[in-house]
Amino acid sequence: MKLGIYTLQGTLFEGDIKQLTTTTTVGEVTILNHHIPLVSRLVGPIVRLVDTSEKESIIKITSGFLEVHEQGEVVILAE
Amino acid sequence: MASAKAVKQRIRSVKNTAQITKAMEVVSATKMRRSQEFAIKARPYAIASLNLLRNLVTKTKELPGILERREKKECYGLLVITSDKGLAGALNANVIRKAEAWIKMRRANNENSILVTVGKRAKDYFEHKGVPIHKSFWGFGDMISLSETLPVAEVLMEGFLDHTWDEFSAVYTHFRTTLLQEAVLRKILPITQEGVEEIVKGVIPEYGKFSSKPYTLNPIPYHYEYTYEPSPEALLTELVPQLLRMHVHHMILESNASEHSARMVAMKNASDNAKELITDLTLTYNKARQASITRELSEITAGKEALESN
Repeated sequence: MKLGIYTLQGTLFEGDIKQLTTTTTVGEVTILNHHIPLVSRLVGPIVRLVDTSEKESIIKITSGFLEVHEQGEVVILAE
Repeated sequence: MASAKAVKQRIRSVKNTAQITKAMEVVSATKMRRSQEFAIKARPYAIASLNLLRNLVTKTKELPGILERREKKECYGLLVITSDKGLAGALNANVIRKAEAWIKMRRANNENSILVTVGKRAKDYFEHKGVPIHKSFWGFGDMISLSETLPVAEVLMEGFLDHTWDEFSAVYTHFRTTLLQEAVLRKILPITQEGVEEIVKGVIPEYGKFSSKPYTLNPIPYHYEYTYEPSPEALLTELVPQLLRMHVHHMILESNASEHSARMVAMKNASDNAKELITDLTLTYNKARQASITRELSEITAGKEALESN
């Protein structure tokens, strides 16, 4: 699935990923392919993601919004 | 005709001025490019948040207070964004003129109005004029972060929620191209979808290096159901203020980019004028020099002739 992490200062990440784990106001979520459409508020402090070549990376955010589209597109508005 | 010495002095002073204006031109050009780039970086964020807002609004029955359109409007507010420093051509004058027209219109309709200013120019001007100012901000740099412009947005929101004003507009300089900036008046509170679309459009300059990617804001048809955590209402009450903060931030950034390009153009004109002046003065200087040589020569010849005739 496609992931885009945007902030006002620039784009932090844009590309294909396999898995994404982060914390929302109601708890931790992991998003895999074919996740149901979801909108939620993120509290940070990190977004952990696994890209298509199995490489894990961590992106720091302080807060933000998460939006999962039906077609497997994830948008994170981070701060 | 002025003496050769006086003209020479003037040439020197004009040259000094030209040097300063040239330096300011170069500095502004660099700053302009940087602030333009800075404003552009926020674009994906703006687009994504607009999409999210549109999506949430269609799913929510009860809109938060900040989206409420009031029928009866008691007081109107205006945010005036100018620069802190002058020497930027007609930039600030244009903004202030637009604000003055707005105030006049409110007065003509017997409506209350109040100002919030950003930038020393606006503050000084309206304080001098005795126009009521709710709050003034100044001293924003070129690479301001969202947290720095946050207090401005907070003031606007607080005032709206506690009914100090029922509608809020903003006058700022819209950066169209490097050579063209215009003062625009836009409604910012209550937040409307059209208003947000305007912001996003405004992020992209029409020409030049950063206008490259054509971009359309076609609404994605959200025919499927979203799951909301916690609830659409709770998300909206957080997203909408965030959007307003972004909006205010963007207006300040854009005014900043405009300030630098306006100053660059103004300084370029000043340098060109100085160059012209130097050419004229050099001509005058040469004429004066030539005249003094001719005079001296004729004096010598006259003296010689007087001696010979004896």
